Amino acid sequence: MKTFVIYDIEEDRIRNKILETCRDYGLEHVQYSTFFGELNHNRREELKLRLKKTLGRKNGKILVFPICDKDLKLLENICNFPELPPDA
Amino acid sequence: MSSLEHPSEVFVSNYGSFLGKKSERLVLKENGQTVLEVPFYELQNIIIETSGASISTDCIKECMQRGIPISFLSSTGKPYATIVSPHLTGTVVTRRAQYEAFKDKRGVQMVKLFVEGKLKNQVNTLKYFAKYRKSADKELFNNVQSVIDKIETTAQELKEITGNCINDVRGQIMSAEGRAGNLYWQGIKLLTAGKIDFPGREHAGAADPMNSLLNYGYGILYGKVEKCLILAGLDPYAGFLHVDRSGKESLVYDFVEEFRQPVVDRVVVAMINKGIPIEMEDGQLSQKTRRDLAERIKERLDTAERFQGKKYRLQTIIQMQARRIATHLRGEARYKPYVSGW
Repeated sequence: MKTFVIYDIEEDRIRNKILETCRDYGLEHVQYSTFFGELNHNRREELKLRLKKTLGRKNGKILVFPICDKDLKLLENICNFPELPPDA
Repeated sequence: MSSLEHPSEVFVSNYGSFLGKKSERLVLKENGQTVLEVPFYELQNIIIETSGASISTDCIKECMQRGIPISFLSSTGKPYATIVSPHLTGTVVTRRAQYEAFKDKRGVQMVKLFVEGKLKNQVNTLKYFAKYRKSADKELFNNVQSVIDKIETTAQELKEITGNCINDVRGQIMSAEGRAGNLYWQGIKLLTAGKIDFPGREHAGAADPMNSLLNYGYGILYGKVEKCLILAGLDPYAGFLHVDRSGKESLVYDFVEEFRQPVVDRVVVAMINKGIPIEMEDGQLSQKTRRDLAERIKERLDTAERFQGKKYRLQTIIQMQARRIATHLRGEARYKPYVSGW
């Protein structure tokens, strides 16, 4: 199922780890602190556990939410940047 | 949002490329610039087809742990090395059965089934390409039909061959296979006439476009088939029809027979009939053409075909068949060759 991962994390080191993990799971960087991609149930659970472990007790918030294709169709892309954000 | 698809197969084809590992991703660098990152999770295969590339040991280790083979192809598409894990092969029972089968009826049966599959696929490939000509070019259709009939007669002769050991019947089977092969290539020649100058099938060192395409395509297929055999616990070096020779993956050559036509020949003939430009450089396919062919073969392997009453991707069928060889040799189930539709 298509999944968004959105995070806000204070510490740079942790944030970078989260970013790397999202990439390892084949997710695509759609904007700063937002990843998107296809994950099956097991992969998503695995990712959740890893993100939880990486964040530990540090300040931050991570949202992992699956979205169905029907709702995804309603996605609106309003964008003035010519390109995707550089590696954050 | 752009494409979410990652390639399951990575081709390294530029001189000076570097393959490394970053976190849990494969990184392909060219001139120090990252050109591709693929999560190992989605990777199936790495094919290195250039000289002067390098690869890190971390990357090799990760690939081996995940069962991703790394194959090396020469510029003609001939595989010259594969890196596979030495630990994937666990099954002693299968290997013992495989070696023992060489001496008894199982080996003969196995080879007959491989060749039977090959002949049926040759017939079906000819039928597949001929069916559109039935109304357009009646004469050609009839000529191809007569070739098909002759191959079917040969297939009948093959069925009657019996023996207790493969060594006793190898000559007979090879003769039937050879005759069918000649007929088949005649048929292919008829079907590609006017589109390309096909001098007849040549194996190694061919310098004409058609044979080069076929050889390159088979090179890719060998790598696939080999991987499947290894994953099924078989020894790719111990074949039946192809005699033992050190460094020769005889079982790969035996097993590949029933997949040559549906996977490679179909793609190559279609490319030629569609008039897709085949570029040659110094007696070899150009890099662009090679890439194009590899892409099409990959697509073909991804298409679902009917098999045992269900639809499976061709790739999966090859794997299932490899497992089937193992069960057949262990005497648990009978092998049945894969026959493509037309």
